[in-house]
Amino acid sequence: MTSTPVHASTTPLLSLRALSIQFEKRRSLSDTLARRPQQVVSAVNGIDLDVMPGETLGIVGESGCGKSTLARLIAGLHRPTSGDILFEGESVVGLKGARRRAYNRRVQMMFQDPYTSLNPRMTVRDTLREAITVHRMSEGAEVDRRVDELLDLVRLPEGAADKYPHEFSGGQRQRIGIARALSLEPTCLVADELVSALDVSVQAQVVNLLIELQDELGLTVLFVAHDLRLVRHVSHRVAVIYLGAIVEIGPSEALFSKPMHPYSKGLLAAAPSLDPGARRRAPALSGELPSPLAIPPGCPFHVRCPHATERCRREKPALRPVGSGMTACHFAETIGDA
Amino acid sequence: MESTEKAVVLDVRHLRTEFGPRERPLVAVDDVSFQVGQGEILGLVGESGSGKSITLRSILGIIRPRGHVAGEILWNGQDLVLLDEARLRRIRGREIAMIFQEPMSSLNPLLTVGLQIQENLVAHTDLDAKARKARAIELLDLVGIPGARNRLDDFPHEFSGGMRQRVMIAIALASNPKLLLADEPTTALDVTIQDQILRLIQALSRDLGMAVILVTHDMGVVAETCDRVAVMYGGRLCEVGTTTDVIADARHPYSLGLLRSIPRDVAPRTPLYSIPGAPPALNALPPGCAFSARCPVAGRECPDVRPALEAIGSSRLVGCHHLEDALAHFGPREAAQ
Repeated sequence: MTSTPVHASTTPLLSLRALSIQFEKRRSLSDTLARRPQQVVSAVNGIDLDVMPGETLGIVGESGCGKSTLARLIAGLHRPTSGDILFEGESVVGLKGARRRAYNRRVQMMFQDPYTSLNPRMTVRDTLREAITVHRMSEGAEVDRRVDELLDLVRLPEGAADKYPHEFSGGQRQRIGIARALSLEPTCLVADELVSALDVSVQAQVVNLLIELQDELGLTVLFVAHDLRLVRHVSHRVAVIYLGAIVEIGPSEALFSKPMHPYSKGLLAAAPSLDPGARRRAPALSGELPSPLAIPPGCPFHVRCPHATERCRREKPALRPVGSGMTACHFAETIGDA
Repeated sequence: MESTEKAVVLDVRHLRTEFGPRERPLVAVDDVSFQVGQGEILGLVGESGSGKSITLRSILGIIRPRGHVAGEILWNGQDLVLLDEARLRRIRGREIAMIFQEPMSSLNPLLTVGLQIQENLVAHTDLDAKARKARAIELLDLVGIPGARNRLDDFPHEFSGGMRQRVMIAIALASNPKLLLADEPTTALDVTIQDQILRLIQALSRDLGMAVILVTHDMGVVAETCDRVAVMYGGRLCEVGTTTDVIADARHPYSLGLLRSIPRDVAPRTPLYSIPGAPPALNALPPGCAFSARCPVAGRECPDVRPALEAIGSSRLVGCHHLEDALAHFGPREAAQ
């Protein structure tokens, strides 16, 4: 399948084909003695996705739904169990050596925690210099010029280069993380909860910077986050993930103003709105995300779905075009319009 | 701030909490006064380091490392600041209960949840063992834990994050508290679970007539849950009012900026309003308005002269020298929305 491209004329920058990853749970001695079967966590289950050059794809879902694992798969930090990742039409799963490094350079990840993702014993200059020299981006005096240029790009104050991470605030550290990612002139940025750890007033600064840099440098961005308001603001398209599979994907505004999948509906309704008049007494979505050790048969959402029927318990719905996006629900048309 | 319709249960007056040496103290909470009415949910909102959690902990006298609390905290006519540890302990956990942000680290991992609830029942009620067990089941049921009877013997790690927070609430409710202090109870949870916990707190407050102080950094949580809201910045209150008023018509430049930086009704991918700079360090607060360094409408006197909280209308307090400038600065966009 392919999802509705934003830039219809171009070919996708990144394509995921039936991408899956399973982690085997460690067996204890007593498990082995009791001959309990090996437990397998299915974190990502057959995701098909096309990401167009220059677009921002938002990825949302509850914790444990596999959105971070998906981000790490794309960044090459995990090896998929099955399926394929195509970058500019070429498979990158089995890459080794120089070609692996070339891919790693072009797809850069930015992490959630600005306090643990930077080496506390390296100055900002060392951190950036390491990235630049490892990938031989520039040499000699060029390196230092590039460092200054990068810090200027992310608007860190003069003299920041020779300070250590602890001397910066959380927002500034995330800027260092962005500078580090940009130092390799990547094509695609994977932002895993980039601003979640920051104060609200500082979040906006970092998000503004990200949007601006993206437009300036023509970057493709995968924006993984749980703050739905922010995702709506920055994304062109949004994918909603439930138990490692896409349940709905579509243009951001359409999806947020009229979600078609019952899970997307519940998730969006649960997000706190700023309208005290819109209070509910009952929770928007009952129950919790089931364990990825035992994904329910049929539609994985049927145990929490208020609309579930016998068919949902038996038959897994495929992701199919509904409205302006795609939805994996047998009854998307009737539920979506309700 | 008067809450006219409800009897006041907690009256905090000029609370000041400081740490470190007395001659050069770090003032975490500075001259904070507010009241909470019976059955009312008051939101205390602010960024990290704004003093909202310290305010909450000051009420129960659980400031660690030991800080110095001054001012008055009037609870049923008693000033909690003056009580000794033994007398405070009779109120703490019994009349005033508290729940925390991380249910995993506030529950004892080595004890079953049944035992942890019953521990509280032993401390604060006269129930016998059999009645305590029945009450523990009743409490788990009340907070919406499915199959409560069978979960008494489970350990905290056998519960999910949301369920653990429910267990925390059940423990807090064991003594029928009149006031629940909730310190970011949903920050570690998903929006769907956050929503469930907030609805639960709301229902309990309504059904049991329990007052709640909910500390949060999320204006959305306030909008969905609280009756009134107090906005804190740099250890001081900058605006207090009903949730509806503050969210629809904030007056303090900080509340205005905070609300404006949340994307709503703005075109996608356009620059969001952002408050310049970062929250101040406690040792670098100006003698005047704490927000002056980041304020778009600050005047020359702002860093030196502390603005007093002044009443606007019947139910609002705002501390700012430049209220009109603030409205003019943030006004045009507000009108466009």
